[in-house]
Amino acid sequence: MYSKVKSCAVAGVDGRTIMVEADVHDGLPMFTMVGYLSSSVKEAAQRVQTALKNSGYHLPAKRITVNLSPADLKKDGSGFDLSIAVAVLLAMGIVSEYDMNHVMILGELSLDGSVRPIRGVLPMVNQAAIEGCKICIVPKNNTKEAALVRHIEIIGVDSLLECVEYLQGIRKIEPEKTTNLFCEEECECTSLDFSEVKGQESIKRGMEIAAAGFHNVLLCGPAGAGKSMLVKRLPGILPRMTFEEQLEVTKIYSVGGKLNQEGSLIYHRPFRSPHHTISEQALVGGGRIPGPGEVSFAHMGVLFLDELPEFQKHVLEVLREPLEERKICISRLHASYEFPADFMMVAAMNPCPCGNYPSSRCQCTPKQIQNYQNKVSGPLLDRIDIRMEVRAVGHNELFEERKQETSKQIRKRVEKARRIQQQRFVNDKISFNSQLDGKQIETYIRLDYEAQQLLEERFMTNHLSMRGLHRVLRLARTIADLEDSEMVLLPHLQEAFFYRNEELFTREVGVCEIRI
Amino acid sequence: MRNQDMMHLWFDGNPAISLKLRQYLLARFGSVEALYEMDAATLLAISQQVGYEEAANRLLERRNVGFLESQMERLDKHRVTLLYEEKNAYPDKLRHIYDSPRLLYAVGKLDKSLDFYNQNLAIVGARNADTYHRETTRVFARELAKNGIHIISGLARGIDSEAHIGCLEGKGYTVAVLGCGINVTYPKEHISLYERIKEEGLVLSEYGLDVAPNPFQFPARNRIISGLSDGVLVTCAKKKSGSLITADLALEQGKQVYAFPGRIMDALSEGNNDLIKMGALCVTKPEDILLDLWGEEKMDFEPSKNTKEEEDKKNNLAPEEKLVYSCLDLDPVFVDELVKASKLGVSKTISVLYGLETKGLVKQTMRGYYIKNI
Repeated sequence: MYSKVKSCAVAGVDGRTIMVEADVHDGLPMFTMVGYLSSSVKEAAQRVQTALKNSGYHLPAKRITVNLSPADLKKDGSGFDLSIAVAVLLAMGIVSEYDMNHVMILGELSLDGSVRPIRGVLPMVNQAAIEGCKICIVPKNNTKEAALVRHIEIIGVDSLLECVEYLQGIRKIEPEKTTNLFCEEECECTSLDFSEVKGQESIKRGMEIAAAGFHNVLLCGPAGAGKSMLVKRLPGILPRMTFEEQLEVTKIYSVGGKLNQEGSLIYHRPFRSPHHTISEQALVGGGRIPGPGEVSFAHMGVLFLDELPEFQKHVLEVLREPLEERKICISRLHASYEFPADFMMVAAMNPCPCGNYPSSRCQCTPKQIQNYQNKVSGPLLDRIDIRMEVRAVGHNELFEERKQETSKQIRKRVEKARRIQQQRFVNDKISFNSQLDGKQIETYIRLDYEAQQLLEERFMTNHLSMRGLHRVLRLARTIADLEDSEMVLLPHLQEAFFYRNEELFTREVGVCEIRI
Repeated sequence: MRNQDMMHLWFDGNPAISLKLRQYLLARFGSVEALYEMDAATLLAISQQVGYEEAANRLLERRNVGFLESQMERLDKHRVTLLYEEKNAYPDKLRHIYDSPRLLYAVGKLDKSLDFYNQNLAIVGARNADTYHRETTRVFARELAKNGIHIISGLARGIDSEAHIGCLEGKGYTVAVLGCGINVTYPKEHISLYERIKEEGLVLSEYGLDVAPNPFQFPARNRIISGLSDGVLVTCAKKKSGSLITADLALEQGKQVYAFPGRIMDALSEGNNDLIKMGALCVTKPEDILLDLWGEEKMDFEPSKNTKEEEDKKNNLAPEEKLVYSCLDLDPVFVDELVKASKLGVSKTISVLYGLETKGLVKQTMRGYYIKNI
C-alpha cells in the first residue's frame, strides 16, 4: 500500500516542502530509503524502525520503500524522522482515515519513540502556511516558536504514540495558541543607556543620525576613548522592528539554531560583534550545506566590527556585496542559498598603530599612520556614510554632573524620522535614507537656495566627488527628517558635511597633511 | 658651455670623491679643464706619488664622452641646470662660505635677485611641530613673502614645508635646498609641493640624480641653506635639533639669527628659547625681521591689505559666531569642547563653525578639530 506525508526542509532561510512517500509490498523483508539523502537522513531508517518497535508497532516482514521527493534536492538533518514513521504507518494501514493533504509533520525521533526538537521550525511552519496546510505537527519543545505563524493549527507532540493517536482521532490535543504577536509595548531591551555616557556630544548626535537613517558608521579614536561603550548603546536608540521584520529575523535565528527555549519572537534589533579573527565563512555564512553567518544574524540590526584594521583583509572584502545588495548569495555544489543581510555596519578603529594620534604622545611616523589607515580598503570605506572622530573625555567632563539625554528621548526622535521615511518610501522597495540610489536622490531630496549654493561651491572647489555628493545628500536628508523638515536646509547640509566620511585634508597646494 | 658642464659633471658629480679630495686635487693640478685634458698615464703617475691612486682611477673610469653625454641628457630631461663657480647664475652668497659647494644642481626659476643683500630669510624648525608652530610659521612666511623676502628652507616635514607653503601663498620666491638627489622627493608626500616650487621657485641640491636621502647629507645641506640667506629664523626646535646646526652655521657665516619665543617647559621650544638666551633676536611680528634686515630708514612694511577687512569681518559677526570664535585658539579645539563652552548644542555649533569657515576665520585641521585661521 502506498502513502504520502508532507514534511519540510530548509534551504537558506526559507522552507521547502518535501513529500515523504512510503510503500509496503511483498518481497524480501527490507527497509530502503531513496531520494538524494545525506547520511544523517539515511540513519533515520534505524531510528524509525526502533522507535516504531518501542512504540508498540511491529513492522511486517515485507519490503518497505521510503522516498523523499523532490529527488534533486539534497536532504539533510533529522527533521524527517517523524514524518517517515507516520508515512510507514499509513502505508501499513494503521492510520488511515485522516486526510494527510493538509498536514505537515516535523520532528526527530529518539529510539524510545519520543519526539525531539529540531532547528528551523519557524521557516518550515511558515512554508506550511504558504502551502495551505491547516495543521502542523511539531515537537512539543518547538511549539512556541511554531505558534508565531498565523493561520495554521500547531499541534505539539511528545512522542510518536501521541502523534499517531492524534491522527487516529483517539486523542485530542489542543492546538497551541498563537502567541502574543506584536508587542506594541516597548520593552527596555538593554540596561545600557546613552545617559551613562558623559560628554561626547557630537558622537551621540552622529549616532542618532545613523540610527535614524540606518547609515553605516566608522568611529576612529584612541584606545580607551569610549568607542565600544558608545556603540553598545546604539541598539537602544534604533527604531523598533515591524512584525514582518521580527519574523524575518527570528527565521534566521531559527535556522541558525540560536533561538532561545521559549522560542519567542526576536523583538530587539540584533547586535552582533564578531571578533576580528573571524573567517570569511563565519562572517557571511558557509559550510557544506550553508548556514547563515554573522551578516545574516545581524539582519535588521547592527554588525559591530571593533578594531577594523585588524580583520583579515580578504574577510573584510567579502562584506562589499552584502552591503550593496542587502543579502548574500552562497553557492555550493548542491545548490545556491540566499540569506538576507540587511544590516547597519558600525566599525571602530584606532587612528594609528600606537593608538594615540592626534595627541602629542603619538610617536608614529606619518607613513605608519597612513599605512595603518590604508589597511581598510577604499571600496569598503565608500560604503560608510558617517565617520566620527572620538576623543577621550577629559577628567573635568567625567566628574561633571550634567543632565544627559536618555536613550528613550533620543529614540523618540529616531522613531519620528523613521515614520517620515516609511511614508516617503511607501512605493519604493527601500525603507531608509541610506538606501537611496542616485535616481531616488534626485526625486526625494530637494535643497533650498542656500544649501544649493553651498553644494555648488563645494563642487567647484573640488572638495566633492560624485560619490561624495550622494553620500552627503543622503545624510542631509536624514538630518532634515530628524528636524521634521520637508526641504534640506543649509544647517542640515552643513551638519552632513561635518559627519560625512571623506578625507578632507588636501591643502590648496595639494600637500597631503596628516599630522596636526 | 656644454663641454664645460660635462667636465664639471665628470669631476664634481662623481659621488665617489669627497669635496675635500676634490679641493686637494684642484690645488694640485690647477683646474678642472687641466685634469680633464691630462692623459691617463700622467694623472695616474702623479696620483700614485701622493697616494690618490684610487680617486684617479675612479675619475678615469668615467672620463668617457658617451657616458657623460647620457648623463647630460638625463639632466636635460629633468630640466636641471648645473651651477658652478664659473657660471654667472651661481649664487654669489655661496661663493664666500666655508666649504662652498663646487657643483649645484638646480631646477626652477633662477633669479638673480637671490644675490641681493638683506632679501633672503631661511626658516627652519622641527619636523614634528605642532599646529601652533606650523600656523605661525606659515603666516610669517606669507607676510614676509608679500614684502619681497625670499624664503629658503629644506622641504622637510613640518616647519620647512609650512615655510614654503606660506611663501607660495604670499606669491613670493622660495628656494628649497634638498638633502637628497635633485629628482628625489623626500618625504614622498611633498611631491606636489616639490612640483610647485619647481614652477614658481627654485629647487637646489648638491646631490645628483637618484641620490638617496642619506642621513649625513642633511647637516651638509644646512650650510647651503644658511649660506644662501641673510638671516635664519628658528621657529621651533628641540634641545638637540638640526635647526640649531643651521643657526650655528649662520653665526659662523656672519648671518643674523632670529627665534620665536616659546613656552617655558615646552620641549618643542627649548632650542629656540636657548637661542634667545644666547643673544638671538626674539621676533614676535614679521615686521621685527624686516626692521632688523633693512634698518629703520629703509623700512616700509606693508601690512597685508586685508587686515582691515579682517577686523571688520570679526566685528560684524553674529553673536553666536562671536561666541564660538572666542572659544578658539591656535591650538586645535575639539568640537565637543566648543559645544560645551558655547552651550549651543551640536547641530547649531557645527552650523556656526561652517559659517565661520566660509568666512575664512576658522579652519579644520583634522576631522572635528578647529583652530583660528590667521
